[in-house]
Amino acid sequence: MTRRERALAIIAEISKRDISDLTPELELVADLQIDSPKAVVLLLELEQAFGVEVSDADAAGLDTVGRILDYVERLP
Amino acid sequence: MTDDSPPATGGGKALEDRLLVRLGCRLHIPLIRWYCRLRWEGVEHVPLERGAILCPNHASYLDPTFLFYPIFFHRGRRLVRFLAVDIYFKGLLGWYLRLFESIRVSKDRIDLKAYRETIARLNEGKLVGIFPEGERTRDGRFMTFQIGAACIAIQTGAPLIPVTINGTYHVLPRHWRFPRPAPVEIIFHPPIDVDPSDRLDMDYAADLTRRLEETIGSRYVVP
Repeated sequence: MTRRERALAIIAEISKRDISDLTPELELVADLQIDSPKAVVLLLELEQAFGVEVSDADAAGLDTVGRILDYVERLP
Repeated sequence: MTDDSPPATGGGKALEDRLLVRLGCRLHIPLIRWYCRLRWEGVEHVPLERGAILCPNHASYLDPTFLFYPIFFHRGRRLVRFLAVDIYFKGLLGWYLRLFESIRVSKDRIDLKAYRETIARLNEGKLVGIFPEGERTRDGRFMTFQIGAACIAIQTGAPLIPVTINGTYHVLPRHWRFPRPAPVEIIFHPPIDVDPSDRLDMDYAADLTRRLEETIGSRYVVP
């Protein structure tokens, strides 16, 4: 499973959407109803999945599916 | 149970052993015992050693102060680290919150650091306090319960302990500056055990939150 697929699987499970429905422009809050507590769970899960610590500054920018995918693909 | 039986021994953790903290705990006694005639029941549901999340309804700044008393004096001098919004970490209140190792959480942004710290405290076996409503009631009725406490419980496997607090709305509601005497009652409900096997199941978190609200509400007296 690629990083992209792994991240999509996490987003899909938390938002209860099918992976095929997750397009890059979808916003976490407005489109996927991932509010603040759910977003925290999502970010903690990404940290665990990819062995990183997401900074608060990065977290603030991860507000769409596409930005999350870009972020995980940029990880070392 | 309202007696002043001798405090149980135990704890031995750094915060609980600090002289200033122990003195601070005793300074509250006149307010708690004589001014407001605190009564409580079910404090035995608070574990003596392991981590747990206490989840009270929230009507007053004084809620943590009332909650600490039966736990500190009757559960091995344990203290509860409450999550508190960052705007309160200034001046005397800020000093007080830091003294009791309150966990600072941002009101305006996703605060991963606060969540990590909360999870770390629970994994160390500490007691953490989270108000599921997130803020004090405006009119005595519950505000919307948020799923954050349940999410943390699922992340850690720590049990949720619903707590009903009656009376603090009459002592110091959000639009008052000074406390007035009124009886306060605290009911510690049996813990809600949490299955940590599926950390991403938001329906489960929502269900736990509903159970919290129902349990707290079952003994709540709307002012």
